[in-house]
Amino acid sequence: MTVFYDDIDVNEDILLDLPFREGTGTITQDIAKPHHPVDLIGAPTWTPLASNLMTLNLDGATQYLECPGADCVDLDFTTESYSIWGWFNWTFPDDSQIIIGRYDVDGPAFSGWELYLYKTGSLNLRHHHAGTIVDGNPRSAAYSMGWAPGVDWFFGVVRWGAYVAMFRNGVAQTVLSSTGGIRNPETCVQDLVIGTRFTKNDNFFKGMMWRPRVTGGAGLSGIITPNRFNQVYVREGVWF
Amino acid sequence: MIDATPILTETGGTLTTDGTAQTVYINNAPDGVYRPLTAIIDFANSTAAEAITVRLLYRITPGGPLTVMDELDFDGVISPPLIEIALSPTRYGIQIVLERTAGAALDYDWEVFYEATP
Repeated sequence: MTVFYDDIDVNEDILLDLPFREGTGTITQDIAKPHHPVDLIGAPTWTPLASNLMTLNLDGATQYLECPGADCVDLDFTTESYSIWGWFNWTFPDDSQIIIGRYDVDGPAFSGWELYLYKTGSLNLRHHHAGTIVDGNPRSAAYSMGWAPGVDWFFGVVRWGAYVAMFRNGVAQTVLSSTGGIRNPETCVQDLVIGTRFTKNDNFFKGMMWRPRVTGGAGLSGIITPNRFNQVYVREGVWF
Repeated sequence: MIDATPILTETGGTLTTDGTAQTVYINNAPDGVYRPLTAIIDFANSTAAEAITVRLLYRITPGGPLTVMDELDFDGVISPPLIEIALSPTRYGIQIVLERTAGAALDYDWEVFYEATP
């Protein structure tokens, strides 16, 4: 029996999927339809797990992944629903570490979205919007706690309108949001970054990453349901 | 017992030749037996001035080198422009290399199909 990638329901609206199968070099291939060109900057370390699953290890100092903004306009989410999911195992030192984002937080063109970890063990989704002030800031956010360093975590984050859901190892987490929920981010022209700030000079991720994925679209099409996250965790967790 | 069903997967991109031996596609360290199926390269941009060599390499022992199994030259205008390369299963690694030996820096679209888990 042949299983076709695009027929798997979690892949139906997938926009980015980086399984890190190359195991060498400075380019990693997107197996989602858009074929985003993703470069590895600073020579992250290709690191097989005991299961022989290939992962990338970022040093928390200079290493990250990027895709030019012009090549990922499909990830310029504003009103769309979207889901971000994959695996990480992070360690300190940086207090704030970007997992993935396409955003500008310095202004004046506040825009885009970012997913990051904070030293308290929180996983945070933040939207930036120049024209809307939420809780005194040109941004809105949602977060969950308990993402301890040094552990392989399967994460799933879903944005639908003002609502954000987060899943750890396939289980829904308590999410706290800005007053009134998360707002639409402004349209953004920045590069997609994985493992660093949009300026590519700070907030470096330190640790293991495997297969970051992004699904997105209008209405419900960008949403991965809780039971699907659980199924993916069960299927992929045996490799960790 | 089967832990996971292989999934027919595709990837691809565009390679701009620079005169060196450039990797089109590689799986340097599969997690186990791996089944690449086919590679397709589009030579539509080649003119009479271009000379392109495509090499297919495999690693057949753990820790061994990626070794050339086949080498093909595509000189001048290629018609029809799409070239298909049949690929074989591998456990230790596969690489497709493209090298421009004459002509200008041009774009070559490509895609590869393979079966993989997870």
